[in-house]
Amino acid sequence: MFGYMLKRMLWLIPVLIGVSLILFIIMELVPGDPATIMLGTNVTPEAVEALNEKFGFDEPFHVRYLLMLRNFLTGELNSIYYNDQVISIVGRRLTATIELGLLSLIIAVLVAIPTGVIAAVKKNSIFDFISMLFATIGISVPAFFTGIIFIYLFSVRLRIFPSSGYGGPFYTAAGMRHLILPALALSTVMIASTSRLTRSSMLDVMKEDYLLTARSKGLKEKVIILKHAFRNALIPVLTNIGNQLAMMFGGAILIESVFAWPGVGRLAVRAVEYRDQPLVFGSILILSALFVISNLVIDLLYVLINPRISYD
Amino acid sequence: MQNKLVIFLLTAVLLISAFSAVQAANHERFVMGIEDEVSDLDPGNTIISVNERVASLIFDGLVQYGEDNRIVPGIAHDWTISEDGLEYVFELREGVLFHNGEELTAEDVVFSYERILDPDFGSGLKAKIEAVESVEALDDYTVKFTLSEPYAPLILGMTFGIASKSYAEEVGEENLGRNPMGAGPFKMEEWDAGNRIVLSAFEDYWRTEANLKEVIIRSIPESSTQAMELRSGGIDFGVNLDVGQLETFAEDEDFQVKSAAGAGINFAGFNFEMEPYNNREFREAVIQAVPFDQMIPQIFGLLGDRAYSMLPPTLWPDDSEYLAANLPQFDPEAASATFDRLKAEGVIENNFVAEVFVSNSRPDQVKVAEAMVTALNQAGLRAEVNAMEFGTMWDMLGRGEIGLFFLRFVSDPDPDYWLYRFFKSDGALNRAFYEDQEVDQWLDAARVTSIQEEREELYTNVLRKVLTEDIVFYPMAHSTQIYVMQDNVVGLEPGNSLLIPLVTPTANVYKE
Repeated sequence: MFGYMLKRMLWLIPVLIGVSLILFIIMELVPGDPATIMLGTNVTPEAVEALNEKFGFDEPFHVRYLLMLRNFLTGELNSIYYNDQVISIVGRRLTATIELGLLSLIIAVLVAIPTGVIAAVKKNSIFDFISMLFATIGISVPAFFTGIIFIYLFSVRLRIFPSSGYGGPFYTAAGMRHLILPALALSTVMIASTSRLTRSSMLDVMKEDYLLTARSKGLKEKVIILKHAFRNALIPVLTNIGNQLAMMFGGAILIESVFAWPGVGRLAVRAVEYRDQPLVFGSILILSALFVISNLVIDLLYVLINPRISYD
Repeated sequence: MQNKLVIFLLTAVLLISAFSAVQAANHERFVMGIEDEVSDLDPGNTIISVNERVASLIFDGLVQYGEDNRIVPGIAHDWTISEDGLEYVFELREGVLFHNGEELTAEDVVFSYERILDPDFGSGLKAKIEAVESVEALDDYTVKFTLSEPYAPLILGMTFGIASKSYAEEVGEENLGRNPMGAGPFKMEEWDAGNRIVLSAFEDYWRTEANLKEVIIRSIPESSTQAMELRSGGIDFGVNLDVGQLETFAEDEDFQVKSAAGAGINFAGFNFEMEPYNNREFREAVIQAVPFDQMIPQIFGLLGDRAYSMLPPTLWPDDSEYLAANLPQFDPEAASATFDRLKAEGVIENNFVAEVFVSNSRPDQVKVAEAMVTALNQAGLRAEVNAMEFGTMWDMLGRGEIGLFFLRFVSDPDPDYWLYRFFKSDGALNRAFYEDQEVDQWLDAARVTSIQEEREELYTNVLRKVLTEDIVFYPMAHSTQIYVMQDNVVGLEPGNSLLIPLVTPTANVYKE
């Protein structure tokens, strides 16, 4: 198990080098020169030249790539737009991103899995019908729109939660108050897809022969559902959660915009708009690392859920 | 079991809501929502408007903008300009303190300007004071700027924020942008990047202590979120609301909506090196085909006024009457006759499609472009909109790959800033690739003379030539600056779009 983990962690290195190279090539191909965009209407040829020299844009391709990679690894990579180190700019936002991603994951799992299981067990009941209706709505309505509705309801009308911004770490009262609405909004899509998947996966498993065996053994229905059916149904659900979690870290840009949430996603978009190459490079690489690590965690969870899976 | 869970959740929500004192309710705290994230507050390099606006609260310059954008004394109480316009001598006030308690002296002024002038520093502000050859401290309270050639708009460059030399040495010059410390009305307390900036009133501010003891600046890019923050009382002041939202605020008694012209000019431009755009008749017909007078008010609403000049209505010279009468007028029949003739003559090729390039981050301009394309097609010219990401468009413009484009531009209150860069043959923003000797001469002459009447006449000549004779650009709308505030905010008036005038020579904003 440990050996497997080590191997997977080592795999991270070529993956990230590959990502960084592709990223760098894309940034090269994208039209737009950071110095000109940055200077905007104050642009003069001299100023452009000075900036290019300052950030080493006049060096050849491979030199710049290696320089950027080295500076990224040593933490010396400097953003053009923010005039600060990439690592500290991203670092400040990473907490906000992870807090938002994890809380919405927790909400989603707590709501979606029980809903999916109950809907499957009580197939064609009112509960099944209503919960799957909500799930369909949840998938169809974009999360940012749900976000706006939540703000209107909970901030403007009821005035329970603040409408936007980051209030501090999640364990402080202000931090939690600011975190709840965006996390709820972000979790809706995941709740919807996960509960639907749990339901159909449960229904598939419940047709299996070994459940018939369990029943004929005289096991209690509760044990059959929770121990035999649920654990087996959980594998595809977990895969789905893994993918969605990765999406939450990097793809919560719309939610971050609506809630003025200082996350890495929004930062990366800003960096692209300003052609801030070092910042694009740094923020996307860190997001990719998060993606890979969260997938690794999911893979390890498989073992816990299903003993038949082993990585040794 | 389930009931317990429900009770637990309800209690949690109630507990959390008990903390929900509305943030903006405090009378000494002022919360502002701005449209973008502040990235760098180094006064030597504040070239992005959000940065500029926040830096202006922390730093003071030698001179400042007063009412109607007139230059008024700041840290310098007086100044003299030599007759040949080559020497500017500023007398500083004594006893002006930086936020760390040290006195601001001539040495700090020299330091601040020499940084900007240093080519290795690469400051975007350098372009505005390019004419300065040297800056020297004559004594502790006297600074002399020597110019290589007369440059009438130089005084606007004297508004740049002054940083402390000893402080810069202490924290490291490259760290000034993240640790700003000046002699302005507010000092930096906390900077939670991407989220909020907290400033507090500087009690020893030389002018007068700010009424607002705490100013919180939050970046809220989404216009609808800003609107809801205003309604929920989360912010006192918002600055980037959409047309639709503005109207509901304007009708609401709990809010004040104030507007001022001059937040930028939206215009269409043509490329003089690309066919058929380099044909004057073609350009005239393109404008004639489109009912701008009808479209602009509908599309821009409260956010813009119909423009006939490249200069905002707050700036001189005001020649909009002449320009309005002499710009190409809406005449679709004439336009379609011209298009037919130009096609027959081969100026417009058979498969030609006029592409209107516009930045997709400017929804109002995109709407104008769409309406324009419809009108052009009706007049017999095939046209389509190409709404693209600004960085890409800007790059293509620089390489001369775009024939017809929409842009918005805003700058400091001197016509030189608005015209020289666009219409001078070697102007840094001459994206039309326009060359005209006469215009070049006028623009240069207006830099050298400081006699107001002469400058007005020269700029009038320039505008008439480029807008009505040569049709380089076609002005569409002046963006309006709109402040939406809670009704208890007193004394905050939009003026210069690059400032947030909380403490000015004439105002000291407070909450009732």
